[in-house]
Amino acid sequence: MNETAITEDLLVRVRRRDRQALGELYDRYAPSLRGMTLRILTQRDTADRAVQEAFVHLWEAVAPVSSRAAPDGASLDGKQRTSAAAWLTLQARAAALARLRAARGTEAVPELELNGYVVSWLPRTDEVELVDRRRELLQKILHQLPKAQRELLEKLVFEGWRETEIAEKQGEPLAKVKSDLRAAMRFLRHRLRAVMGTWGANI
Amino acid sequence: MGCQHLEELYELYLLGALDPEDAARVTEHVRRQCPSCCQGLREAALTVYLLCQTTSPARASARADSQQKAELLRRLRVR
Repeated sequence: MNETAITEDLLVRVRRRDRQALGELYDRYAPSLRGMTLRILTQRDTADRAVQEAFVHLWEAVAPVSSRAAPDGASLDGKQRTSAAAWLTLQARAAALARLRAARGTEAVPELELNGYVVSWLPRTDEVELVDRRRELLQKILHQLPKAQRELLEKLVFEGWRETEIAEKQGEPLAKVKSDLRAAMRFLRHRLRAVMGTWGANI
Repeated sequence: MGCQHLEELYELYLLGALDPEDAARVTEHVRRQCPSCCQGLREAALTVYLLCQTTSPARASARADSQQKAELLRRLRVR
């Protein structure tokens, strides 16, 4: 059974309220999620709690009858379906950043709830598989960014700062911060399109 | 719908990095189910996923992992 089929099978079991299946999903995805939440929170205990929250949300989201604005469990995974890995990644990041912001007393940013809209934007399983297989190449793309832009991206992704907060924190004009960040995203977007579009892209 | 000027905002929107005014501009198009913005946000979500994957996996000890999993399953029973 390939990875996608295994995850899909586990999600079906989770939908049937099989806790062991959720535990098996945890085994598969927790290390990757923990790496990210640890980067955000730096402390093992709180990082693990954020990962747990992502799985609790998954349990609730794929419930046969759910009052949450969340994806139907049947729509997760499978080649053309929303990737469970992507869904869990965004959930764990949101959980970790909420804790981080609370700890530093920053105003809470309204989180992008993983509602129907956002779920429909999340990468499909086949796209995530492609990204995962091209991970080294994609890391090289990131390192092609100027160091200053990479550091700005880190502040966004792993420290949850907004553009206005970065400008204030660094004492830089907001227009410059916005320009640098948007240039970085433009670069990544175009490179990613090239990699996703052709297997043999030479970067 | 004239959303070329929004293209540069999609990743930042998904990351929660925009100020409320810029975020509202994207949200407005989302609410209108603008096809161009929705497609742009789909692509942006892949970039965001990639950015989140730049950390290395962090494995816990077998004992710690077992404890974390047990705690997770306990949390489910309470709900």
